[in-house]
Amino acid sequence: MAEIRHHAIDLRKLRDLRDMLGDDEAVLEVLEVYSTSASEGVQVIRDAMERRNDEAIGAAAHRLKSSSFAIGAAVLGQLCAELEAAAAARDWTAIDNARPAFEEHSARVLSEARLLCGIGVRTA
Amino acid sequence: MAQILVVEDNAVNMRLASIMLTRSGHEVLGAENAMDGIRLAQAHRPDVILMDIQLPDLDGFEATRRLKQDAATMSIPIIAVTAHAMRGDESRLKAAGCDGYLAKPYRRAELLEAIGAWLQPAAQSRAGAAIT
Repeated sequence: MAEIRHHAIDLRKLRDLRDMLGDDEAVLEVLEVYSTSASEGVQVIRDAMERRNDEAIGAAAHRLKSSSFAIGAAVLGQLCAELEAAAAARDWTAIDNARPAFEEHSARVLSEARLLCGIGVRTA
Repeated sequence: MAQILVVEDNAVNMRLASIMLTRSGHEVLGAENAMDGIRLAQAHRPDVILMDIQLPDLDGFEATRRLKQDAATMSIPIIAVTAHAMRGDESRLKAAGCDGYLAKPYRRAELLEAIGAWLQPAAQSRAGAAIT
């Protein structure tokens, strides 16, 4: 497992995933799917923010929330939960206020996920 | 080995379910939306359906209602997969025709237990249908 300071992805969660799925290859497979789908999801949310489309933000944040919690990106998952709730309430002040943290954490999570995919996952 | 249809629009959740099921010896059919799920269920008649409730086209409640109204698919056990741990969900799921439910996130043991509860009855039902 690569050493990353201040992990945006909880390595303990990846170990749990390894135990649940069987081996590191399965974890890598999930991380690769996450990298692609989360990258698309972040862009969808960003575009929807620009278009002021709260419905699209809510749907994309819901998907990204679930995926992020699944791979141990809990802070990003929580930010997505807040975005989803704000979008449901059509609270654009809350959505705009959440955007900087969302951008920062999503970038960190994607960067770590790509790094882990690139060097291979070793949870042992 | 059983054939499991997973209806799930989230790519990561789909892959997680797929890995857990295939590594437990099951065959997985995947659908990213409710309409594809209904078509696959009608075409393949899987042993069990795992139905996500929040889907992009029809929600899982409506997809389940349609499958339970279709003579070709009404006997297939449907396990609802939901992140909605809200009070009242269980009765809504039952009213729609779901045979069980699984709360996300779930562990492999929970998934296999939920499916296993229906595999033997499904196999017996098919065997009975073949005899008659």
